[in-house]
Amino acid sequence: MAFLPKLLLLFLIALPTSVFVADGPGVAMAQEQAEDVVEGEDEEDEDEAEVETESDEDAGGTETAAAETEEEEEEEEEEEPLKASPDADTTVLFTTTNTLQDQQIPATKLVRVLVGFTNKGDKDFIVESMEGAFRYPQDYSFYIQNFTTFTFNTVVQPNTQASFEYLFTAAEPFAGRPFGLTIALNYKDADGNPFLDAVFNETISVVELDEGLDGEMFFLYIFLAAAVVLLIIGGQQLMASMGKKRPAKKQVVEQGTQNQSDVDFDWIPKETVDQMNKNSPRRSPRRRAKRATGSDEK
Amino acid sequence: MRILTAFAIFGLVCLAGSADDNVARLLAAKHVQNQYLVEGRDLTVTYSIYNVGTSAALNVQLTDEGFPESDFKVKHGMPTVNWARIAPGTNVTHSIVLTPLKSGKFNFTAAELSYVPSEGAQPQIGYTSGPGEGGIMPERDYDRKFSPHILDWAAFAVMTLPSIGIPLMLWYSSNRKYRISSKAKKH
Amino acid sequence: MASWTKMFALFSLVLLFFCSSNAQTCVGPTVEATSFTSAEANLAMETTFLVEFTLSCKNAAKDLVLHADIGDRQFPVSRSADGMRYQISWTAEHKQAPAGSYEVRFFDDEGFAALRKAQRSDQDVNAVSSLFTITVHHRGVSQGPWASSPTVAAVAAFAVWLFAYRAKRQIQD
Repeated sequence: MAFLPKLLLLFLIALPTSVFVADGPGVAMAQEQAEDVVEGEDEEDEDEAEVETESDEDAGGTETAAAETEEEEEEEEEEEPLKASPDADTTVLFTTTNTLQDQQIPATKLVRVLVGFTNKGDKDFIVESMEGAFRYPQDYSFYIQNFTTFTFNTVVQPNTQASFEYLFTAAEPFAGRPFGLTIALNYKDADGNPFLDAVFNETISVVELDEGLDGEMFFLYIFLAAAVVLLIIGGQQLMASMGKKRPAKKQVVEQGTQNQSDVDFDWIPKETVDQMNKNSPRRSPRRRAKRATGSDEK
Repeated sequence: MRILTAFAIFGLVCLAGSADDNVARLLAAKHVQNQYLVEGRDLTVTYSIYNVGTSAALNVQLTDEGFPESDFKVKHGMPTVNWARIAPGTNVTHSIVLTPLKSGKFNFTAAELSYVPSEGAQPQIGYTSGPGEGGIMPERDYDRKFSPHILDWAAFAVMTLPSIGIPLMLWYSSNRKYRISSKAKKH
Repeated sequence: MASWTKMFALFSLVLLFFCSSNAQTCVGPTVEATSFTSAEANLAMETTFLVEFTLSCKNAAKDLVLHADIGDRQFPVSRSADGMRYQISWTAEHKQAPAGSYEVRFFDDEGFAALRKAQRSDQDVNAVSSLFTITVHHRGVSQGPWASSPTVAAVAAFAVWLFAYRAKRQIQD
């Protein structure tokens, strides 16, 4: 009976591998990739989980059924690959990579691509849209990111040329890695036949531009440092002033008529002081007078 | 005789231009440089023409009729210009500054380009890229967002004057009284 | 035979003449120019410089082929349809277009060829004499007021409050 768990284990291992082998490379790639930038991965992980749970009930049947349906879907997609029309000619130019070498794209900056379209035929063409995508460099059928599709719906007459612009930005996490960039132009001829021209289909690497020390950043740091220093000084002053207040209050409240050496008599005119000392000293009117006229002190 | 044949060949070559296979190919982009399109303020449109061919493009004419007189006023620049020659592998930029006269949505269409791809060839017609639709916002909305509002703040200061001014006057008058009284005490 | 060779020589000589240069040159140019530079950063993503001018030559040359040089870039000058007005324009990033004067030198075909030669052989580019020069004064692109009005108002309110607080403390002491 110890045989059964081992057999089950074997099935559990054999099932996913057979699914991978039977299926297209897409699922296999998802397994092997350690990166989790891709959204598509989640979906494929779910598919595998489903297949694995099904295997517990009925290993043979569901496995082949799942494999078959996935194969069928692929066949449907591959039935009609769109191609370029022989009557149309396209040229591509990257207009923003003037400081970088070929096959390099800056990260986080808008990249402009200008595509020229020539109608060499006799009938009108309608240029519909242009789309771009980042793909896995080793396997171009695996999409990493799809960029926004630009729609033109422009009519290009025979023997005329037209230019179309496509803009996209590579996000910051993509910096420092190679990607397959594909830019494709969708157009139809006067009879309604669709065509697809991959104007750019190569591997590029995303490069982060080094902006260097800006004048702005430099002054920003100085400003921040000054603000911090200001806060510290403000805090210090506050502490000092609070320290001064409390002991002074205590003296006024607690000592009463005992200690006369701290009292400052400079501001009282000489005659008054002599008069006070002649009369009985240490009388409260003096202190009251001092407090009431406190606002005159500068 | 040899010198003559050399001359003749030179002359023929001169007439024919550089090789026959070299053709000029122009790609043109039209951009609106503004982040905000405001009625009554500058609107800058830039045309960039790139020659990706192997020979110079001759008699390049750029005509932009997409800015009707009723909706835009040309402030600087000429919407219709021509260049005698654009060398291969170079690019040219051309800008015009317009003032929108109306607010609302506007479809920025492509401008027309015509050039002679190689000497003696037929003129080739092309179109620049079209920037698409843009919204021109009325001047009031733009001011509300971006003007310094100095007048509004001045009005605010005037409105707060009573609530600050009255206690200030009270304090100042009593302050003066005390100073006077203390001076009287001293003497 | 001799006459044939003579004719041939003459023919090719004439051809040579036409091949070398087709454009006229301007003698004694007088220029009237207006220029425009971007003023607000909100309204322009890149700073645009635009110079329009009319050129009158003493030898009444029209439809000239001119080239402009702004120091680091050279480009051909565009003409209006009637050949009377010329325009050049270029764009630069805001950071690379500080306020100041920009000199634009104009060359005809020969002058431009001499300029390119000087550039290629690393000679002094300023030594090549231009047909004429136009100066563009750029006042700089304003990124908005230096201190926004709410900031100023807040600082003023704080100052008023500080004054009142100090006075109050004096009275209370």
